[in-house]
Amino acid sequence: MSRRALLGGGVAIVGLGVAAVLVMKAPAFFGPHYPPSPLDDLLSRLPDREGARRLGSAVLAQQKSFDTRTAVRQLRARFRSSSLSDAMTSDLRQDRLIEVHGWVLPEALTTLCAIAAKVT
Amino acid sequence: MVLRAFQDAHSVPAGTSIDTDLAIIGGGPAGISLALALQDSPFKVLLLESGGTEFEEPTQSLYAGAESGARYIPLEACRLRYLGGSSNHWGGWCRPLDAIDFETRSWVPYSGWPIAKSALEPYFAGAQSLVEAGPFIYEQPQRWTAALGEPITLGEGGVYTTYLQFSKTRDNVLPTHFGERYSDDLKRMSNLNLMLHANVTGLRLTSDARTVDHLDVATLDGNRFQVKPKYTVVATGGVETPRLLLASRDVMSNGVGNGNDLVGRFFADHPIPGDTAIIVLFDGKISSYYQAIQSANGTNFRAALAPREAFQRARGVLCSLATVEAEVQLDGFGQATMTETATALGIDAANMRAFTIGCGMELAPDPDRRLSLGSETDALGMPRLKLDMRISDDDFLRYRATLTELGRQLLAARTGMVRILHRTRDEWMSVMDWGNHHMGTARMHADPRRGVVDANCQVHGVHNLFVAGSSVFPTYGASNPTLNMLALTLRLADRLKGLFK
Repeated sequence: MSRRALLGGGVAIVGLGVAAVLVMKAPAFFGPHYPPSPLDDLLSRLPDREGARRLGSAVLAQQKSFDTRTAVRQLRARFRSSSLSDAMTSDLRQDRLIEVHGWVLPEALTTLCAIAAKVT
Repeated sequence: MVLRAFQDAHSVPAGTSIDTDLAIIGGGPAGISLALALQDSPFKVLLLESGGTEFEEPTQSLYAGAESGARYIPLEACRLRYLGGSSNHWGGWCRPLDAIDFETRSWVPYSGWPIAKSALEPYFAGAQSLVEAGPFIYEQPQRWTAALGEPITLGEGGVYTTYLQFSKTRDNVLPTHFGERYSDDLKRMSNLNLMLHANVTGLRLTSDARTVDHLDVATLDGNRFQVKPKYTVVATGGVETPRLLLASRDVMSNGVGNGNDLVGRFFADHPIPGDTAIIVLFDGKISSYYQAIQSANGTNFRAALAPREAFQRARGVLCSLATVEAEVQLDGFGQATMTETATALGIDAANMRAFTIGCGMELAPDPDRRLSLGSETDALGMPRLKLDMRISDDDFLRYRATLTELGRQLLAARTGMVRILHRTRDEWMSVMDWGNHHMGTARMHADPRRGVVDANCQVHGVHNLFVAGSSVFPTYGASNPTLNMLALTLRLADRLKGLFK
């Protein structure tokens, strides 16, 4: 193999590697960016911060006395031992439901979305 | 077999008195079914029908009345006054009442039938045959689901899939119109005289008010005569039955059977608000029998979502039947909420579909939802009715609780979710329609102070007067009344056969 061919092959491999990383990390590069927040441990659990903010704004509109500090403390306690999905499932079992614009939703989700709306 | 033509009341000589063993007033589904059940019996039956065999405007206009309160269908438009009665515009929906519907329920004021569902069980097969709804298999869902797909998966909880059967209805096949369908059967009855254009304008009691002595009958062209029956059954529907009882006040000043001011009270219908909610199914799959009538096992059927008895007891709700209707697109907020929820639960909702939910609701009994006599009279001199229609906010709240439970169960099963579309009374009333299921106005109770008729449909205190039809229902369930009132009518037929022995 000539030196030129060897160099060309190397460049190609490196290029493919860079491309692969870009594809894998594309959402991070091209998706929405949010300023760092002390609540990222909670907010990172949301699938889509924009959708969550929209839902959360509706929650806040109907819960005028929403207490963010208490909500954060309670959710952190719940998330210490369970995922968002687990917390939602638990809410459904225990009938902890919130109706938002008529949508019947588990409390953990609406609370987390309300927090997202507060800080976003 | 000889077919005897129906007689026309115009041909009866004025002032005549006609003797008969049994007079049935009203040729609707109840009256016709009662007459058919009494064929081959040894006694003479006279069925008096106000209309002819076809719609006639002058007769129909006898139904007109006044209304106040909650918006309701005009009284002359919510029923039909000719042979076959309101089966002539029937939708054909059939479902037996549930056992709980007959119970005294602490959360339902004035509830409690003097009979249990078991008293009607022997008569459902006969009623099912009369409405031509095929085999009686309401509680055998596997016979449909095996052929047409599984029901919606719901988490454990208070709402379940139940099934309605239909009177023949399919494409251009109409439900059983009792007049047209059973005319020849009625004409074959050697012990029946069916008289058309015969309007009963009064139930005339003996002076001790314990016996119907005779009936006043009139035609729209001015002919008048009497019928002297040994027994009388009023089968004129949930609106006209109280009218006749209240208007017959020559001996009892408040009207026949109205010593305790109950006749005409507790009027009920099934509210059928449209588009009450949206159901989202994450995988987009739904069996065809939720959205439209399907055929299988010799019957036509459709699924609905109803609250279980245990849920009704635990949450103090009443029955309802929610049906899946038209497919809809979610708005932006709905799409965002659905996506956020499904993704948080780890569900791929890329193929989701959404549908509106319709419903038939049970109302709580209300003595002030009432039919009473107005000051105007019709062409026969009968007082016209006035209806004070009411629906309480609690009726809506109870149904909302069932929808909330449905939403909870769908999410718990990770199959879907629910959006309830109405919150305020005005929002509910803006989509309100009614089932034309007139009930409650001659309610059944063992105690004469609490009911117009007893457990045998006999008017309290008047030994030879009975009421057939859904006017005797003290509570209403969410099931369409026709099948149930026919079962009750067949039970009454047995009672009458016993009295004549």
